This record gives sequence, structure tokens and C-alpha cells, in this order.
Amino acid sequence: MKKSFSSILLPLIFAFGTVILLLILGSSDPWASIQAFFLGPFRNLYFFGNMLDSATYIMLTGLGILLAFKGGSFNLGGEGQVYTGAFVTALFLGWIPSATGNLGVGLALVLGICTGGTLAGISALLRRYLGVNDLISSYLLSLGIIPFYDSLIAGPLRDPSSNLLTTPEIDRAFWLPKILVPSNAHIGLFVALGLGGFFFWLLQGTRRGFELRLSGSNPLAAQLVGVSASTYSFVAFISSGALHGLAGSLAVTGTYHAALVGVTSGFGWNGIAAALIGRNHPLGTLLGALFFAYLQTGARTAMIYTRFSTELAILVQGFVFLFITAQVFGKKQIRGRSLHD
Amino acid sequence: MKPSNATIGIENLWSQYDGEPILCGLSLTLEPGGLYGLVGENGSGKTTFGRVLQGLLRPNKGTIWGLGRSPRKKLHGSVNRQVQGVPQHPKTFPGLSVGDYYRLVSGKVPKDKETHTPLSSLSMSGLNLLGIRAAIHAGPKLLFLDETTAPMGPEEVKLHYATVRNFTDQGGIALVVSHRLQELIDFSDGIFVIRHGSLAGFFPPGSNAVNISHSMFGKSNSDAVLSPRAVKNRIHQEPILRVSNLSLGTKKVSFDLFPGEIHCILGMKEQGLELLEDSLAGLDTNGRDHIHPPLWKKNSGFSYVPRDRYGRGLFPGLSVRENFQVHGTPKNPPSLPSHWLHQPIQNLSGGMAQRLILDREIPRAEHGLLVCEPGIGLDQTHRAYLHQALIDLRNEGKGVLVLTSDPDEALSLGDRISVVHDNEIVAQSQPFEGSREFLSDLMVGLSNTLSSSETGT
Repeated sequence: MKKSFSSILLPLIFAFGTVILLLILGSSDPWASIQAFFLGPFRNLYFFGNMLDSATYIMLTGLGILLAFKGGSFNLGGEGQVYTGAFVTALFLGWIPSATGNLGVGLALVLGICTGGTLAGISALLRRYLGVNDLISSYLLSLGIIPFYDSLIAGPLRDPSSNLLTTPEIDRAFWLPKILVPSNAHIGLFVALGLGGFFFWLLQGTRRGFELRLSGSNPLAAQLVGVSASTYSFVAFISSGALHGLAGSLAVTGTYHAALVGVTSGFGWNGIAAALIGRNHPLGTLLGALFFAYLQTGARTAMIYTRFSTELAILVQGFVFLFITAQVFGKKQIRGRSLHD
Repeated sequence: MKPSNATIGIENLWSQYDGEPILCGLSLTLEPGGLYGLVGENGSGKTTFGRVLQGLLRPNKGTIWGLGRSPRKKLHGSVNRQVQGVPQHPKTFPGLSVGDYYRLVSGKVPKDKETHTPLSSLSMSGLNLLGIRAAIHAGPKLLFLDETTAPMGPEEVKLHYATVRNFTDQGGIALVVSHRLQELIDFSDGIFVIRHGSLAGFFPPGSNAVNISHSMFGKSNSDAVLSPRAVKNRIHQEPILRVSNLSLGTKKVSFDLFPGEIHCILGMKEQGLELLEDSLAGLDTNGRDHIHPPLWKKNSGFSYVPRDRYGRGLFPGLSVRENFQVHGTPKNPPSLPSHWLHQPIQNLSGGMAQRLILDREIPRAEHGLLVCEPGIGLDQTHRAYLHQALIDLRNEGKGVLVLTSDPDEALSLGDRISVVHDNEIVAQSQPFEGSREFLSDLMVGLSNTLSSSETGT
């Protein structure tokens, strides 16, 4: 337990210390803004629900990151995959008749999952058959495809009646049922929680999950015990993209009801932080996602109550991310041992 | 930079790696203009010594004179430009040319050379020679060559030493690691023997190769207690493993394994033992047609204990228990107390890790077991456990193939010993009185002409 104290609590203490320091330096009424930051997310149902809403997406993307991790690779294209899922879902639901109702929503979610998985699949294929580093290729693909959606949403697909850069709103028949009204939270939260439990069972309780972990831990040794490491890693990477696509799809059907420019609001990145805080454990990742959503909501409430500028809110998240990654990657993770003369 | 005319002195050098002492008070003196050989069995500390000299590894204790900025200054863990090391397999990068390689190593490109040739067009030997030339071009005082002649044929070896001699004739010092004693006797000004991390002897030119070999491997009293081991009558038995014409480098090997025997293949790892392990493990796909049954297949009835325990046998980040259960057996490792089960595997010591792998692989050895360098880094207790486990397996009628570079291990385990040198099997015999010296001579390429009790397969 001593070990997990230093590796989880210590960076959190540092992170919160930094938050307090920033609030003291960056606002005219430090005490009020500190209160707003830490207690804001619990002040009313609206903020609390919105925190859970953010957490839903970070949970899904975090689980996606975790899955790729377990297969021994790093999915840096989360933002693009989330956006793809959202974009395709908004287009699809704008196109089919509203009479399809729940069936239409189901199809849209499947479509989001498939397109997110396809985008990641390009990187997975490039790695499998051409040896291209999937960390780089997924990042670059994502980097390239985001402005493409942006330009379509701001251009030919824009809703002329809206002030925002967004596609037309989808029909109410396609909206996911809300929980914790008046907040944005919706039943997608249960999907994310359920998937967390599912992956916990898969990774810790099944042979397939075990073989996936073997493949990620040491591909060569996995091959020697008869486990096809490259296949596992391939499937895990595609599934990672599929989870991101699902997050995007849920964001449209559950929260935004349209594809806005920047609809991903950093879920792709925050998923990485959640997986890292969660120590690469599915249930830990759910908690990590909650924590990150808490920080986000805290920063938002502090912004409202105290003229806390947007940049400082981003700064807070940046610092937390920094401390946690420094903790995870800064120390020698694997004791490299080799026999030599 | 012109090499200055100064002696290099190494005094009482100590270095440890992962808590195990590798260099234990090594002292030696290198005179300017000297081309020295450096020999020792695998694990004796040669490579570590080279790293310390190059400043890649900081010694725990000791002094090196004549290489610092001022001659009396201690060497402190920064890369030393006065020492150029050339490894057995120089690192190359795809797309580099000969000129780029020179620039990388020495910072400048010679004008008269064919510098546009891509590195990928060079042979292993050509690459090693280039490595040496580029290193010399950098103007070092000391050249450290680690097994650079390993891939070379006789003519290339001559060229190799001519190149190095040219460097030492101008006042440089060269230290050449090789497992081929005869070439060092022919071309060097003297041979240092390292054993267990300290100097075991210095042999001037013209020394008897057999004496050098004995100095490398030490005298052991195990010969006295060697008892002739009963080898079962094999007339009516079929081998459970047949390796025929398997390519190792440019040579080929053939051997077999019978049920109820421990067959040790003894050799230096650079002389074919490593290549053999890769082929038997199925990692070198070219060799697959020459090995029957395919040991790497799950249903072959063979299991595999690799030389590189952490790189090939274990899964970092997973628990001890999970590492034991990789084959799907829902059991706990028998030899570990229960508080170890949920620890990460990297917390185990080398000996415990080896024991875990043995306990995991032995029950799967339906017909036989392939074990590579099983005793490396093990203390007496773990070594005894290991040997007993292998002997028990043999007594159950299974075949055990041991690849080892330790003559003592081969002698205390083997019912049959094959010696590999220069990528081929040079002798096969059963252990006998005094066979220790005989075997260690064979390992370094001596006594080729002696006949053994059962030469060839």
C-alpha cells in the first residue's frame, strides 16, 4: 500500500497544491475561488450531473487507451477517433427518418463504433504489415482528420439557423434519456460503467484477456508460449478506436445533439490521463476519469464564480497531467535485466 | 590527434552489475605500440571491462592511468574519446553510407575512400573492418575490439590484424577480444586472460595455447569425482529430436537427442550457441525445416527454458503467479512462499526467476526439454535445484538438451557432450577422466585434430 500511496496520492497532492497556488495567484478573491473549485462540482445537481457527463466520455476514452496499452501500443489518435464517431453519428441521424427512433440510435452508435475503429484500424494495419509506429501514425491521422471535419461543419454542413459552428440538431426522437435533470448527464454513463466492469472481467478473468496482457507485456515471450502477440495487439488497437468512436457517438446522441466544431473537448487526451491515474486498471481508469471530470468541472465553476480565466483552467489540467505522467514515466518502470559478459 | 607515447595502467578495477560483481580487482598494464589479446570464458568480465574503458560504465572502484585529460586523473563515467570500441556487431542504421559511418564515429570523412557505398551492401566482416578503420580514423589512443573477427574467414582475419597492426605501429594500443586462441597467438604481442573479473594470467607471444585455455577455464576438482554415467542402450530407441544440416552462419550442424539422456551442447555463445538457440526456439524461420519435431509448436511435447530469462521467458508488469500460469495451468508455483504470488515478477532474483521458469516448463516437457545456459548467474543452492530437476527429468525417460558455455555444467550434467566451435560441432564425447581440459580446448578451437571417443553424428 505504501507503494500506491507514493505513486497515486503524491502526484495528486502536488497537483492540488498547484491548483491552490494558481487560484491564489490568479484570482481577486482566492478563498471564494478555492471554494468554488473544490466544492463547486457538488454544489448543485446541475454541476454534479455535468461532472458525471464529462466523466462518461473520459471513462470510455480512458478504457480505449487502457486497451491499447494492454496490447502493448499507444493510441494517440483519440481526439480524431472521437470526432469521427461524433461526426458520422450526427450526419447519419440527420439523414434517417425520425420514426426509426431507438433503432436509429442503435444503428448510429454501431456506426460510431465502426468508424472510430476503422480510423484506428488504419494505424493498426500500417503497423502490422509495414511496421509503421502506431503511436505516430494514429496521432498524425487524427491531426489530419480534425480540420477536415471542422471545415465541413463550418462549411457545407453548417446549420444556417445556429450561431454556432455546428451541424443541424438531430431529432428529439434520437436523444438519449437524461438522468439528473437539468444537467447534461444521460444513460450513456451506465454504458461506460458497464464497459469498465466488462473490461475488468475480460482482462482479469478470462484467458483471452490474459493472453492480451501477455502480448503487451512481452511480445517475444508471448510468441514463445504460443500466443500470437501481433494479432492481440492488432485487435486491441482497433477496439481502442471503437471505444473512442462510441464516446463520440454518445456525445452527439446524449449531450450535444449535433456535431459542433471541437465537440471532442479534449476527451481523447483526458482519457490518457485517466488511464495513467488509474494505473492501467479498468476500474482505476473509471475513478481516474471521475477525478479528471471533477477537475474540469471544478475549473468551470471557479471560472463562473470568480473571474478565473479559461487559460488558468487549462493550466490546472495541464499540471495534473504533468505530475501524473512524470510519476508514471519518470521512474524506471521495468527493471531491464540482461545477461552479458 | 596523435597518440602520445604513454602507458595505460589499470589498477584494482571493480564493477558490479545488478548487484553481482563482474570485475573484481582487475589490474593490468598496456604498453604503447602493443596489440594485446584479451580472453576469458563467457561472463568473465571482458565486455564490462571494455565498457569501463570507453567510459560507458562507471567503475565502483579503481583507477585508470593514462587515459584521462591529465594522466593522473580518474576516469569518471563520461564517454572517453581516447578509447574507441568496436563491438562484434557494429550498430548500423538503414540508409547510412560508409561516409556517414565515418562521420558518425570519427566526425570526419577520409578523402580517398569509397564513401558513397551504402552500409547495407557490406558483409558482416566488411562492416567490422569498416568499424575498425573508422575507429582508428577517430585517432584514439586505445582500440578495444570485442570479437570483431567472429564472422571472418582466414584471409579476412589476416587483413583484420594487418589493419590493427598498422595502428599499433604508429604508437596506438589495441586490445582484441577473441575466442579463437590461435589467431591471437599468431598475431598479438601477448594475451591477457580474465577469469571471474580479475587477471588470471598474461601469456607472451609463442605461449602454448593449451596453457592459455587452462588459465581461462581454471582447474577444477570436479574431474576427480566424475563417475561414468550409465547411458541407456540406445540400439532399439529412436531419437526424440533430430536436427539435420541446420545452418549456423556459413556452417551446418546435425545432432540428435534420445529419450532418457541429457545431451549438452557446449560452446562459446558467439561461436554458434546463440544462433542454435534461436533456431531451436523457432525464431530463425530459415532453420525450421531442419528440426524435427518443431520444438516451438505447442503440441511438440517439448518445452523451452531460454537463456534470456527476462527477455524471453517472463512478462514484466504481471505478477509472479500470472507468470507461472502463462500456459493456462491454474496452479501456483510450488517452490515459492505464498506472499510472493502477487508481487510483480521483476522483484524476483535471477535464481528465483529461473526456478519459476523451470517449475513452469518441466511439467510441460512431455518428450523433452530445451534448456539454454541454465546456470548463468545462479548461486549454489539454485544451481543444485536446477541440476537435480534436469536429472530427475532424464530419469523419467525424457530427453534434455542443454546449451551451455560452462564446461563444468556440461560435465556434471551431460550423458553426452557435443562441442560447438565456429558454428560447427567439432567433437562429441561422453564425459571421461580429464575431459575438462579436453573440452575447454575444443571450445576455443584447439585440439581439432585430436580424435574423440565418438566423433561426428
